Amino acid sequence: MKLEITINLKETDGVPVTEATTIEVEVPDFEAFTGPARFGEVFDAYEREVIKARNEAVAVATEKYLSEMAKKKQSQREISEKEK
Amino acid sequence: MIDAELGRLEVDQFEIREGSEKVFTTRREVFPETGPREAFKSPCLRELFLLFSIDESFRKGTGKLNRVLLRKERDAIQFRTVANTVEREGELIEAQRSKEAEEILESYSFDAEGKRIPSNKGYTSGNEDTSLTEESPSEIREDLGLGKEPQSAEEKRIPSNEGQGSRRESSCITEELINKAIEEINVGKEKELQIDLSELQETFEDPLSVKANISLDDVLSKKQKEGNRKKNAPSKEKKAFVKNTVAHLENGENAFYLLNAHCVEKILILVLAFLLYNGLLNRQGQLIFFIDGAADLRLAIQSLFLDLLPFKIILDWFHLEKKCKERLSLAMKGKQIRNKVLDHVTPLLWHGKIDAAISYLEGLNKDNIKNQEEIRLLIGYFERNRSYMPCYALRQKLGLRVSSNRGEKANDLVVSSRQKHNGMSWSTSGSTSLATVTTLHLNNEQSDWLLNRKLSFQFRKSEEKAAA
Repeated sequence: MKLEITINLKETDGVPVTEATTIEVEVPDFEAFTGPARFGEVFDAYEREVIKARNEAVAVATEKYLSEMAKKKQSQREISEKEK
Repeated sequence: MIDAELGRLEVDQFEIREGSEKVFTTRREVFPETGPREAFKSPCLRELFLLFSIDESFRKGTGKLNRVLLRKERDAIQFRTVANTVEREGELIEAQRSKEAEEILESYSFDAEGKRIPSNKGYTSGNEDTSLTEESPSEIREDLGLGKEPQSAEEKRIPSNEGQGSRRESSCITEELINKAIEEINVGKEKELQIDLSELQETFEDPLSVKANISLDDVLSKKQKEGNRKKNAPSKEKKAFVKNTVAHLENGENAFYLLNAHCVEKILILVLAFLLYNGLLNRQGQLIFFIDGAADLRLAIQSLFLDLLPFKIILDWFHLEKKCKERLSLAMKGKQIRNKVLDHVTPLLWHGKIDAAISYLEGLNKDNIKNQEEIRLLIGYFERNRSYMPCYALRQKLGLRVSSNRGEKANDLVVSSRQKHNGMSWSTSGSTSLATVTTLHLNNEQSDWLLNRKLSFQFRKSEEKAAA
């Protein structure tokens, strides 16, 4: 089974700021949960993958966010220099 | 409810009923059953509980954990939850370790107290050539200080590892090497401190082929009071302590394993099971215990291992020197006289000259002594521990251990650094459980334990520790 995390960064009006970030990971199938005795082990496999994916997705999205912010700052400076 | 590193998860529960009877419920048949109002804690979260508890107080650790997981208010983890979880994990680990030890002992024909059950199968099966019987009973007696038959130079040699259990062809400590080391030590030394091989009663183990070096030490932490102090009770009650015993086992390849228990007898059972499980009792070489001179440790070792295999007990040099300092401080008139006596006695002991040290103490000027009883006690200590006091100078020159410092450090890591702080006091089970959890972490067994409830019971390489 796959778990997909998608992060969209949008302006307040809903316009996308960056392209979407998508991370996909394999997680245990429902069949892997064979009973209470193995629940902890299977859930651990799920949780570790999901935490890894979550961190990766947020890191990539944050990189895009900061890059976009830097671009905006550059264009703002160009505008203000022209005005001078 | 599931409490996980991901967050606190509310999960719907489903059940199937036939009339009034429940025939299926996810509460028991899908998810592990928990107590009322108790959340199932995921292995990831439990691992964090353990990691954040072994170095600092439950309160501080939980505070940091809540910050890392950004848990606040209703979702915040309570320090009592962490403490209870850690204590319960510790108890489970202890129970599992005892169970595994008992099974190992049983499979090698030992009872739960570590006594051999007469049987055809045992730890010598399939490896008779390298069995312990190769080392003569006289050598056992000598190691225990029960007999002191003079040895020829040939007998002093380390038994070579030509048996099935080892691929090494000969010991790395030869007679020649010992003689060379003695010559080097004796250069420029006054006659009194010169080592004479014929006087030495000890054997020198090949450091690469020892069965195991085992450092044992007790550590005490303050015990919690049973209840509130009673009215009109004496202001200072007698201090009570919780005892933990820690064993640091090391093989010839610098790999180690730590064990802990609430008493000496229990830890020796675990040590025996560990040695059996790892095939160390059949291996050629010596079993060496490093202790601080505590009588209970020495007696417990002798009681369990005396009829089992040859072993050697070595009194830790640091503790021997400390004992001399303490007793002489009480015995001599003033620091300067004490230091003068100490400067004479310690080199003698370092060079294995116990008789000379005793003679020197007996011949001390009475005018310099304020308490003759302390001198008598110190001499008694030397006499009692004579068999466990080797020629430290020669052992050090040959690259052999003279100290139980690894055991002391293990004690520090397992108990002292966490449990001995101002204002801390412990219940017996709380202290032992926390020590057990710390031991699990230092042995790098936490992942396997949290997922599979298994303990490796095997040496761990030092590099693995560094990498971890």
